[in-house]
Amino acid sequence: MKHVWIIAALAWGLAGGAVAAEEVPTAPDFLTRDGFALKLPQAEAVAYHGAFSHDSAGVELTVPMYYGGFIGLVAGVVTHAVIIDSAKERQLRQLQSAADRMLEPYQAILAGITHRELMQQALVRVPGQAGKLIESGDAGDGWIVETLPVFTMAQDSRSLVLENALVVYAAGDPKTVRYRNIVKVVSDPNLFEDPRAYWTENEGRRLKDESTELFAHSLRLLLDAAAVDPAATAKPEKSVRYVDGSKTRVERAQVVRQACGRSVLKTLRGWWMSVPLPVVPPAEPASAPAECQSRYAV
Amino acid sequence: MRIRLTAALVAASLFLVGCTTPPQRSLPLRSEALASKPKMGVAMSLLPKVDTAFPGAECLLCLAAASMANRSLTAHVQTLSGDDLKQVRDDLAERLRAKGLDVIVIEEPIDLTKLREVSPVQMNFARRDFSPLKEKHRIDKLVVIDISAWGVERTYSAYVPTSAPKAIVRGASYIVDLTSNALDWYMSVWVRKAAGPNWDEPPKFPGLTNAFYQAIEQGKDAVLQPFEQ
Repeated sequence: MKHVWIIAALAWGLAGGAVAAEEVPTAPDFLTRDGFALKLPQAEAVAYHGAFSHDSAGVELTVPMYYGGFIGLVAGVVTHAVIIDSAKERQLRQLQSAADRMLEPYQAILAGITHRELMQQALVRVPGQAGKLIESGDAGDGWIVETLPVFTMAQDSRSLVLENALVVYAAGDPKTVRYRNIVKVVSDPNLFEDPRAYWTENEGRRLKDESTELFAHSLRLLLDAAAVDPAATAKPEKSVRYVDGSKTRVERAQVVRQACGRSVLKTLRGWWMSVPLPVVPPAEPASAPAECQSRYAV
Repeated sequence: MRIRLTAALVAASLFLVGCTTPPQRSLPLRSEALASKPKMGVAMSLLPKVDTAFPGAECLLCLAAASMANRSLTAHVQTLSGDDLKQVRDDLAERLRAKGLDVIVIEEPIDLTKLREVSPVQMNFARRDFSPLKEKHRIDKLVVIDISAWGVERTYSAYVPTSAPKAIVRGASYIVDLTSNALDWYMSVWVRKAAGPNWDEPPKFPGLTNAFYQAIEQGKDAVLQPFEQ
């Protein structure tokens, strides 16, 4: 369990923690121009978690009496704060641990999903790029993209969400970060009658393939950031509804573009986000346009 | 002596019981409420300021400490626009029209404190006298969307926060029969949304800002849901 928190902390640290919108640097157009090398993370296994809501998080404790004048008050408040902080941390660990239990049927599959396999297969799905994979200890040459993907599966197994922390720098100069952001991709909803059977069939081929698709899409979004009209950043913020498995969710964001049933958003944190839109049944059944034939084409 | 003591206890009990007004319980939309095709009005109550609240920080010094510790959050929350919420009034009117009802939207928010308080309070009856609105707007029934608090709330135990701040939208939505002041429908709106694992992102608090707009959308859905076709 401990490694889960370390990975989460690393992912957050890699992306610079809470990146405020105005701190997000300019889009990395140099990546499309010069190509890049994708650096493997040190950890071998890809991180997967069960989703949970923080909405009900919080502890309830009785208010203690503070004795002993000012010094007693300060000592009492400090002790009280330590007890409450520890209770809050314990509660979050318990929530995550309980949420992760839903992954038990998938453990055998997930244990076999490595960063190497995920990234190798994803690079093939990033067209027109000379992206190559380098070892975590290699300095590489040209532009280096460090990435740490974390996947979260809905409790009912009907969606998979990728949060991919990305950092770009020139080889040999990792301290001068040229671009840093998080790209979040929400999968198309799994509408199959038995979503668990869908993912686990054929030794988890679909779960592996979906993970690869989401990761490749996050890389394409990183590269596409170059092609986005700068005026997009001036678009008004609005509450965008999207589908997360069996649930409809909302994100306050600017809509960068919308096509093929998906929206690419720039969130209030400056993250890039790709989400499936709620399905509006067409008046007449029509085949998908050519540009939407492949999944995650937006 | 014993009789006097008993009488005093009974009197005290009655007094204390009399002090507590029972909250209005949820009342599902009665199918016959709209069957006679009454002329409907849809209105919102006067919206309170978008603000922060620190329940549990109850002593004066605790509240002062909580306000001080969260001053940058409060400053940001007070800049948030809740215009999106106002759309729910028009959306609700549309849903009622789709049911074949004659509906007017009352543009001006209703200041509920200016309506006379009803006494004694009765379950399934409005706590304020809405009847003057019948003549004023020439309607039979009024749908009220009453938001009592919205913004961000952080729970405390005296001086110490017991949770991360969360976005809230609270209030109620109900239908008042303007002839009898009876309620045809009553539903509490109680939405609380967290920013996720990270919320402390001054000065713009994007995670909590996002949660605030999520709470607004969830609140709108809650109000509209009973009127789904």
